[in-house]
Amino acid sequence: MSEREELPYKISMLGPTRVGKTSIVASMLHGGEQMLIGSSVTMSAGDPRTERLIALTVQGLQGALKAGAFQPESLRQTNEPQHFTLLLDSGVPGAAVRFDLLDFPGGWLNPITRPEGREQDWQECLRFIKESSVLIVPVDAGVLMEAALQEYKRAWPAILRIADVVKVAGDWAAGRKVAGEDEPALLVYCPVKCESYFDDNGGRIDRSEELFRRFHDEYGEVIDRVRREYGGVDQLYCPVDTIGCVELRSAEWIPAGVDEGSWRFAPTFQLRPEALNGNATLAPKGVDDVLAALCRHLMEARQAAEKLSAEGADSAHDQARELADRSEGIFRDLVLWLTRERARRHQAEWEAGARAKEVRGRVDALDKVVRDIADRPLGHRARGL
Amino acid sequence: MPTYVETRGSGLPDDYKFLGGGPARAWWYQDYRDQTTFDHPTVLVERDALGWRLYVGAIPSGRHDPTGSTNRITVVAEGAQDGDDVDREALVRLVEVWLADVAEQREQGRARRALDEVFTADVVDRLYTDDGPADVVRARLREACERLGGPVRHPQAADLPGSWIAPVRGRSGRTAFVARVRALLNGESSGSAIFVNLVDRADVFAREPDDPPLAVLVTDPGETLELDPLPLPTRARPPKKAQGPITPMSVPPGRRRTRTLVALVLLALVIGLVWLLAPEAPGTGLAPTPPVPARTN
Repeated sequence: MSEREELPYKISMLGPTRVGKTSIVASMLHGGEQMLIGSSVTMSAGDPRTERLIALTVQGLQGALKAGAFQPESLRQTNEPQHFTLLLDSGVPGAAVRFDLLDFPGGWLNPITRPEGREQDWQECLRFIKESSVLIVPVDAGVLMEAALQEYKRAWPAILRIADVVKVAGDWAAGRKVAGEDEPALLVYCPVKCESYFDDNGGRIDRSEELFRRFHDEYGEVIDRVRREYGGVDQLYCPVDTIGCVELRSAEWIPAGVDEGSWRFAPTFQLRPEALNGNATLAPKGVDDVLAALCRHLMEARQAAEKLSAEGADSAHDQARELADRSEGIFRDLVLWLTRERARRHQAEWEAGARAKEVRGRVDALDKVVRDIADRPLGHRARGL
Repeated sequence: MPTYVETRGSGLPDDYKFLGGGPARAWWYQDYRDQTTFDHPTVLVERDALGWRLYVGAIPSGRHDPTGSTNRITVVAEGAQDGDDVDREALVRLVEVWLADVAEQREQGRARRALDEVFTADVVDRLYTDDGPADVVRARLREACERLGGPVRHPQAADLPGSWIAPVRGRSGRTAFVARVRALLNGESSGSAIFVNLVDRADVFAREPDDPPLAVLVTDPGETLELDPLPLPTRARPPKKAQGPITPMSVPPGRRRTRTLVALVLLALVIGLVWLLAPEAPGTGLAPTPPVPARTN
């Protein structure tokens, strides 16, 4: 382990294809520095590979805004599972939290659209999801909000892959129950592409209540299933804008295939007038709530692990002290002295003491970080479920 | 020769998939996912005892989904060790043209144009929906590769020996890379030739002396590499018996035994001296017995 000890956690994204999973990750990192201002916590790419991956994704998002127009051809759809390694640095030496985030092609959720020959890779994804401490479920806000007709609403389960989400999230929650109370268990529902439904990031109309109501009507089944499986899962609702300066231009519903009642949702976006005049820049919103929730859970988990580690270090110190001071009879004591074994035992006791003191110091410092984060209120967009 | 084309249709929920079926194993993902993201230009070619494999990925097309996002094309081909395949030179040509498009940052590159002319939106939507047939997909891929023209034989188009790394923007590296790809597909060389986009430090690709040769092209956005190929570093094998560091806390067992023996001998001497010099205690019988005077008759 390196000088800065890191405990790995896993985070999975669970949502249908083209919903904007990769954009959420990019926004988390792109805006991560600003979001955690005021706390000692910082987030960064955990390795050069992830750094490059994030740079490419942000470049794609920025490319979509170039030349005063919104050009979505730069946005790339994931065609293979993608692993990101991120680092939450608590500011406490030796207490960083490393987490691996998996983003997989949304179509893999559906056994019918899952490509042939990828069963082994899908099983690997499922294992990763099962071991994840945090599950992020992106939700296409446009699909929920732009369904003016009942027949469009009837297409929601198929478009949003509700049955698949219920199953995978339910299995995940059951796994968290087995993992125990000390393990973090956080499920964040992230309605994405919310730019046209909030008035706090350049939008003109506030339809946030309607969005929440529609979300709850459709995802209530997921929320209930997770709660039934394990009441210890913290479920949050955090709507996000990943781009910020765009507005829904049109929302078209296209008949999909020959099946009656099968529809595709085809939205198009445009830059807001104020962005057209100046330099359009990414202005994500709401991702700070996702980050704050992540921070709180992972830092608490890290703190719990450190407390266990501190107890272990104290116990090791006690044992070393007892061994160093123990009298074993005059002849045996003489042998211990002559062979320098006694000196070695005292040295070991001193080292165990120093280690225990270091871990205790880390626990105390982490206590403060966790309290600071817990004291920060969630934004007005976020809600507990 | 099995060749496969992966792309998606124009419908929004369409995921990427191989038209008419794909390879049995996604070897590119299993083996190279830490070095490249497949959403961005990637070329992977390898040959071993099982045969050869080629992956040419993330070629943009002129087709879009309803939101305007560009649909990409990936070509995968595989062949047996001694297969007699006539299309290998066409694949080399595809690699050559695609790398030049990437290096010169052509938005409407030649690879894209050739594939677009054959895999039109209507054709792709039909093949995507009907899931094939594979023969039609292969025939169309062959036609697209033919549109790329014949191979360009650079006067200096010689492969460089061994393992090396170069940025894709350098012509000499690209030329040597294409020569290596040709040698791999034709069975004149084994090992791999890869163009990846997430890592570009030479030490990441360090080789052991017995490793098969590896030619690496990287994106190198920071332009830290020289234009011409550089040999990859060789990783020294760890010694067979790694000896742990000797700390003050760990004394070698042999020396510990010697110390213990010396201590025991000293202890015995001390006990002997104490026994000899100690005053006689009554009733203990520990004091030496006084000499008995000689008896005379």
